Amino acid sequence: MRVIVPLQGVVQGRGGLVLGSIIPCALFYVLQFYLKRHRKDTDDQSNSGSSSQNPTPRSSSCGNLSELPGLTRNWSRGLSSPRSLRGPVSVSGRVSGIVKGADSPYYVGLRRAKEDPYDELSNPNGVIQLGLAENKLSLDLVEHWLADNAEQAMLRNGKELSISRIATYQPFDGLMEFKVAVAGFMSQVMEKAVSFNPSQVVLTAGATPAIEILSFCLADAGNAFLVPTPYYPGYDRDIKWRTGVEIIHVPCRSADNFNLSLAALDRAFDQAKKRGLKVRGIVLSNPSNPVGNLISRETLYSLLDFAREKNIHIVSNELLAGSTHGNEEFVSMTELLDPDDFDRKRVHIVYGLSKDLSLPGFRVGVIYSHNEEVLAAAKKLARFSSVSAPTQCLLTSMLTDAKFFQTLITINRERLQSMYAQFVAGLKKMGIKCIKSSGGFYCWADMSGLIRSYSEKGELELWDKLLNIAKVNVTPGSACHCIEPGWFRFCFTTLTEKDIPIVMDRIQKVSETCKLNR
Amino acid sequence: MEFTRNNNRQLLSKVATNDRHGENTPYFEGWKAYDSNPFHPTQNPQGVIQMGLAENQLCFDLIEKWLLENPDASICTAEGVDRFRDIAIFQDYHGLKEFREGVAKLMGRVGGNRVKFDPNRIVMSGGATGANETVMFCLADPGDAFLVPSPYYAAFARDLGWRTGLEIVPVDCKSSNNFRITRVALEEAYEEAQRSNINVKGVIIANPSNPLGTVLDKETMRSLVSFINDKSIHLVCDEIYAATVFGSPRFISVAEIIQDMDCNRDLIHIVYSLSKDMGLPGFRVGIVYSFNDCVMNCARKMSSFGLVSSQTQFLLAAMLNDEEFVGNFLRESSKRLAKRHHVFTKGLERIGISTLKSNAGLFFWMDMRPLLKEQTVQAEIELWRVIINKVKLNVSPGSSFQCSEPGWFRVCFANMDDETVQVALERIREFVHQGKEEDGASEKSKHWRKQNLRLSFSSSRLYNESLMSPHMISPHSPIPQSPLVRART
Repeated sequence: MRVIVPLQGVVQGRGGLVLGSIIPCALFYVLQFYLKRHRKDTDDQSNSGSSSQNPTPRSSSCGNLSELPGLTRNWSRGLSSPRSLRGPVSVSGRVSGIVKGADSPYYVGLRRAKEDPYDELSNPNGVIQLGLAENKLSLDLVEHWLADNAEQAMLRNGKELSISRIATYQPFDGLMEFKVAVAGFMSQVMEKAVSFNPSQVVLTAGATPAIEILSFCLADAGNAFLVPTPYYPGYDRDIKWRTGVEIIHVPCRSADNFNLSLAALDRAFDQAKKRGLKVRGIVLSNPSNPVGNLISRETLYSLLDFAREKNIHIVSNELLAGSTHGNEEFVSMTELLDPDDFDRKRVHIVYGLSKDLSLPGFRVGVIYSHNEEVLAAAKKLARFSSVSAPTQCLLTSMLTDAKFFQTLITINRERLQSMYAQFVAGLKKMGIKCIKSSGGFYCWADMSGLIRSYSEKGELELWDKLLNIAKVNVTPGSACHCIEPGWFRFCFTTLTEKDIPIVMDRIQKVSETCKLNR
Repeated sequence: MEFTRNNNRQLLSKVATNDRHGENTPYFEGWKAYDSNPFHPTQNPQGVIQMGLAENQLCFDLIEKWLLENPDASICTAEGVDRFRDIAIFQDYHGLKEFREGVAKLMGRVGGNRVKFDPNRIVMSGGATGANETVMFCLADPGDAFLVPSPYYAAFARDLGWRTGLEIVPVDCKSSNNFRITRVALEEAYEEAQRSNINVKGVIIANPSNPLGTVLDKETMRSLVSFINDKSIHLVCDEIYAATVFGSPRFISVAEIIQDMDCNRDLIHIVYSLSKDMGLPGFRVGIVYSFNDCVMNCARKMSSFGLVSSQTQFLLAAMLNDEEFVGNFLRESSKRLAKRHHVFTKGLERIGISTLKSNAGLFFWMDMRPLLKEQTVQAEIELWRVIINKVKLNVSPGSSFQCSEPGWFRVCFANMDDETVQVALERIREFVHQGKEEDGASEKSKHWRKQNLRLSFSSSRLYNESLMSPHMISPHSPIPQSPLVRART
């Protein structure tokens, strides 16, 4: 009553105006004070970590960990350790970015398979890794080459030892001899349809920094790239994380065989505009990951036209160009570029030796562009991600042996073709259809018939069963931002032929229980 | 729409088109002069001697010998090839266990075995360049700032700030107290930043210092740790020159300091590398060692952008776990650096040029203030151009290290053979004597200096990439082939 009367006074215009304003303000401040004290108390009870917000105004991300599910353990551990007696320290916003990604099934599955890896003899009940696009099929060929040519490999430069070649500072975008060798290799891989100029090559420590460097060069923080979905889960890190660039999804559908439709691209561009996001380019994978299809020549031409019309760039990730196994022809974006065409400055190719040469550990990535300014910037940025000099020297000799890698590419293709056919046939027997694809180390399978609810939740339940019951790690479509639930990527290149029946058996068991439960 | 040149530039990002890479500064210009006219004892004895590149080539023979005696360490030899398959596929960003153990052992050893480093905290990155950038990505948001005692490494602006958006706030150190970092200077810089609404996230130091070559003493280290602890801001210690210390005082890692100090360890981060201590910059091995779990995990995920080649990891694992070799290498390296340092500094003393007393690094800090026309940066740059064009030595002017006092130059001495050292000393001797004679003469000396100040970069050919022969490094790349390489080929 005592409170309401002055308020009434305000309303009625009487002398309660002052009290009528002071009292609510006072109440407000008392509330804030109370909340603040309450917050401080919960922080001191270090083991709860549930409702705590940040007491110190400057601490940002490390504190936010508590708000994300499943991470309260970390937070309280941090608080109770003697180090953080003074409270959480302030780190950058990027630190919290990774925490959100940590629970993605893509990474969870990779971790599980690493912790409990299948081995025919020593761990027959371990997790079979079908989630990592690694090619072990033709490593033996590379091994044999090394064994036979070891003399010329790393140290020696002709007959002489040359420690300074591998130890001293070298150009950060790669040694010229190595660039020449890589350019020649790329040309071979793309069936000599294009010849690559070594001085337009910038080498980076893997394709991962190559994509990031191009993102830094072509877009500012807050701009966006159009990326067809489903896409390689790592793009969320490579394109977005440190650059602050957004990805706009361009959904591809099973009705189109997951081929890119120009209409969808147009719609996505307009949507971005409506959201106030400036689109700076398109990022494609060709052959695509995770589906494995090749982009047709007509589509590539249409994409060039689109880019010209909208005045944007095209980044074509052709990392798997040498790993095609079907009868379809692989067409590199560079093939379509006229030497006189100014618009060729819009196109930038990403390549690397991780897939076609099965050397992901060696960290060799390529940026290829006709745009001198992009090249100039990329060369400077390569300073942060250079290829190790001894690795360059070793691989230069390998890549200059044209006969060797011609054989390697041919045999690799045959082995891929064979494994693909067997794997797809095995899945087909269980009623699981795969998209017809011609490239990559995987098949894109439709398991929507086995999921309980046609949703991401249903898909993840199936993924979980496959990982924990069948003990196979596969990549669910949702991790790749696929718009249709129920699709899974199975990589078969870490297997040998006799592993296939074992995999099929395991999947069969789960598939049967799923059918029963429906 | 035609793709015109203007259009082209507009289509690129700010990062790609701004100058924050710093390559248009005198530090890198000196390299361009060297690139176009590199010294060679027989083929080009009048060329420019490279004394601006901090590279350690004094112990290559030891590395070479080890490589030849251990062919199984290089998986590309007949003896080592059976490990090839596993190594070629290995791209786990945790890194090879043996490699991390080797690096942790080396870091411990270099710190005098007073601290044990945990191999599970070792995170890789693309050289120390990548390591510094990664740490900043983890600690600061765009627009934040770090305090950096000056003079500091010329490329910090690029490494710390180019892609991260971080600002550098220099903390000036003076020659009057040998460029020591004082608590007072730090507090002042911090207060000043606060007043200008700049959010200071931490302090970054290089210990041993680049370009000074000095080692931080215990009191300074403790004072630094106490300062950052009080303000609850981060401390990043770039310890890449730790094993280049010779004589005394010894190197003290920040890891040792915090062992007996009450300090929030989540604020302490170390950057390390094999480029200087082991003389292997081509291997691109950078290490982030953070006491903060969040930062460590984040940096580890970022290491995907600069992983060390698994082949290199394997090789180094074998090398660094060979304790006898490492012990011998560190001892020899120290000895040879000490000797080279002595030859140079004594030689300069005889000519009348003093240097800052130092016992670390691959360089020394030369005092050319008496030779300056006037104590200004302009005069320093003029003198520097004379040294490059007339004396034909590429040394780095103090202004490129943000030194608050003009007249200091950084001179690198570990990237050449003994004969070249003598040639360099002789050239300086001549230059100084000539200067003295002409000074003694009359006013004419001022005129002489002015005449020589005109840049001989008149031909734009130097900068035209397409005219450079294929084997020459682009002038935009600041890292050329060192003279020793040329001498061998």
